[in-house]
Amino acid sequence: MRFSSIDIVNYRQYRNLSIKFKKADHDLQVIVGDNGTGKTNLLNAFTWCLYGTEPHLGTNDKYKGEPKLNKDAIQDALSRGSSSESIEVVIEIEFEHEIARITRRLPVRISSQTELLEKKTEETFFIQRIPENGAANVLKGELAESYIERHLPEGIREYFFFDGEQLSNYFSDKRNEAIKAAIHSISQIDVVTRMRERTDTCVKNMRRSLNKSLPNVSALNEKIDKNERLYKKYDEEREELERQVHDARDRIDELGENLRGVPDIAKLEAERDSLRKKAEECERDVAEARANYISFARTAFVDFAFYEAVEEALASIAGMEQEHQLPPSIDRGYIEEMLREHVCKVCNRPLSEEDQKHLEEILEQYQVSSETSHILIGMRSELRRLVDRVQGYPQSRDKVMRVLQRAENDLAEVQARLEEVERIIANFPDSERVKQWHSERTMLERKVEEYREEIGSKKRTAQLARNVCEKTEKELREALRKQTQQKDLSDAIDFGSRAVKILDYVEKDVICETRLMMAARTEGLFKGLVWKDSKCDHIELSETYQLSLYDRAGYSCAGTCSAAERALLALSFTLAMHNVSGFDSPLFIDTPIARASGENRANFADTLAEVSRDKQLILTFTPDEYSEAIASVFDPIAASNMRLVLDDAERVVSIRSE
Amino acid sequence: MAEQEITKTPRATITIDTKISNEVVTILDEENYMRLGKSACTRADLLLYAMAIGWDSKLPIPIEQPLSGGFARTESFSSKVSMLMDVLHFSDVGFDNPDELRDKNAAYALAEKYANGGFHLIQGDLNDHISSEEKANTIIAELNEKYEKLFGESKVSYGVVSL
Repeated sequence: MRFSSIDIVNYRQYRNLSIKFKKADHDLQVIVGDNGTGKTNLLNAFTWCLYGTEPHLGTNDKYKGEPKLNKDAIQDALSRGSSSESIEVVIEIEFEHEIARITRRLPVRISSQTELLEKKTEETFFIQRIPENGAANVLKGELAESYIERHLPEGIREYFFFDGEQLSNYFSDKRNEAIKAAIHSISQIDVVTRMRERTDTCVKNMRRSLNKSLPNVSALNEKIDKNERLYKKYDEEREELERQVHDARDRIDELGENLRGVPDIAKLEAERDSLRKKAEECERDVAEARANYISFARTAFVDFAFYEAVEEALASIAGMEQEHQLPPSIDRGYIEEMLREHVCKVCNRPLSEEDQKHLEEILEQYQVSSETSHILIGMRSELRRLVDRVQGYPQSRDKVMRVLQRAENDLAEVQARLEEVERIIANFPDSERVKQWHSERTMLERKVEEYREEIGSKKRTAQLARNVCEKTEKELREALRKQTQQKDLSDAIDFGSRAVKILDYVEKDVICETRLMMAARTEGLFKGLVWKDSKCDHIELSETYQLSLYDRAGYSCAGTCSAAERALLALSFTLAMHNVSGFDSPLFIDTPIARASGENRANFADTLAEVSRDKQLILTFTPDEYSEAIASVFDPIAASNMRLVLDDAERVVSIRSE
Repeated sequence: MAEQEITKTPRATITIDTKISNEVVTILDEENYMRLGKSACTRADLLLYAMAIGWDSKLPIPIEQPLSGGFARTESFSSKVSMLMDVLHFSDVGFDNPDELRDKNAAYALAEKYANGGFHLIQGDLNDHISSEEKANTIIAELNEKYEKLFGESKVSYGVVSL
């Protein structure tokens, strides 16, 4: 990866600057410029384009309060009446198989010379990717940022955009973490770290899943076993019952054959007994009906015998009634008593002959006494009833005879059937055996019915148990599937745990190796850069990435190092980092030897010349820094040797190839 | 007959001939002929039936040797029995003398004579071994004829009982 060009428009002191970084055996790009020509802002132009930040302005930098928009551009815009202008930086990067053109453009609203408003919301950032083969495409937004982060991560930008004047601050305590992150990132240990962390997270998630309650497979198995035993038991019992039904049916058929044409003697005997009882009842009915018939004949005879006398009596009574003798108005007995005693019962005087004659005439006229009248009137209703009975004789007779006839018919029918039944029974002398067959057949038929009901019940119960089995088997399959999953999960956890341990080991191993290599490479480079009589004997990089220098006596000498030594140490460290990690990025060093002098500069030139064989180096110098000693090393090999030049008004910077 | 005598001394029992009692009633009780045994009918009803037979046959026979203690208590007579004895008496004395009805003893005496005659006829049937059913059939046949004579068609729906 190398920067092939940078085009800067309206950015700080650059109105319109285009730098092409040529290729050569040594990809060494030397830019020399006086103070104020924008060497550091060239560095800022790179970082602004790539990250939107300008970290190299410095706290005391004169540009800190200056507008980002070029002042001439502001002036020109105002003069032509325009209220806006844009800042634009385009960096072109060459990769092995593609070119990436990175553009950041920021519109600025211009109200006056001093009133400027950067339209951050309208800022555009995009990357044109032009592959060696295939169609170009444009990345915007997060995709563009991600692209930059992948190739030139911002977190470690200070290790490829190097501010030489700030090198001495690289190893302060609070930068250790940044150094560690840089080394991890550059050496791509963080890939292993991320793998370990991701794997660890996965393992923890899987453990949480595994901790969920496991299905109770044994309980389900027990349930299935229990229900299997149950339905098998019912099946066996049902089969036994079916066998018994089959046997019973065979026996019933056999009995049926035996009993073909043979009446059910037991049934007939029962009928016979019943008929006998019924015959007895009928006989009693007939006897009763006959008794009634005889009684009726006898009483009817009495009625008929007296009928004529009764009729005459009734006629006599009726006659007396017509004669108004019933009831009598005069009591004959009373008159007869007076005649007998010859005394009047009313006046108590003796009766004269005339009186007696008169009373005898009255007696002649009133023949019925009161007592007789009473008897006649009393018997009249009874006489009428007798007449009614005689007159109603045919109906009474028919009624009695009908009852008798019916009773006799019933008796005859019962007796006829009884005789028939007795005759049938009598025709089967071996009736006991026949009865036994019938009894057995009836018993077996009843048994078959009972068995069938029981078979139905067994079938239903067995089916219920089967249903429970099927349902439980489904649950079991599901449980086993889960168990298998759990087993897989468990295996995955084991594997993941081992992987985490291995990755952890790998991470630590790589870090350790990298750290040791870093220390060794830093030491080598530092010794190449620093003057010969340096007190430094060796360098150690602690696990916390604290870089320490030790003298020959084995004492730490970092505290006694000069600023120049610390700057060279930082440069050595950075070069070592690129070298060890194999990080393929250009290295931009602004005023790399600002604090070095003499022999150090020569060493520095030799070292960087060597580095530039495999890595693009963009170095900016002041003319003083770019001494003859350095120039004698760089000039012959530099791919580009450029000078930043201010115009006469010291407003416009331009570049000039040497 | 004086009225006071008639009304004040009615007999407590009615009797039959001792010979009848021994020779007829005993058999009737044993054989229940015509359901006349004491298990099937009262003594008053037996007397009434015998009286009806005697009356129907116009055969009053005086009792030679009355049964000691009587045969039936008159107070137990139903109104029908009592009425028919009165009618028998009424008819015997003539319907022109209704006051004779007050002489219950005369009525009882007449009833005893006709009953005695009837018992003799029953004894003849018993001696002839005529069964109750035969007798009943004979009676029904006679009654059918009587009825026909009295009222015309008797409308017999059923024949006599087959024996």
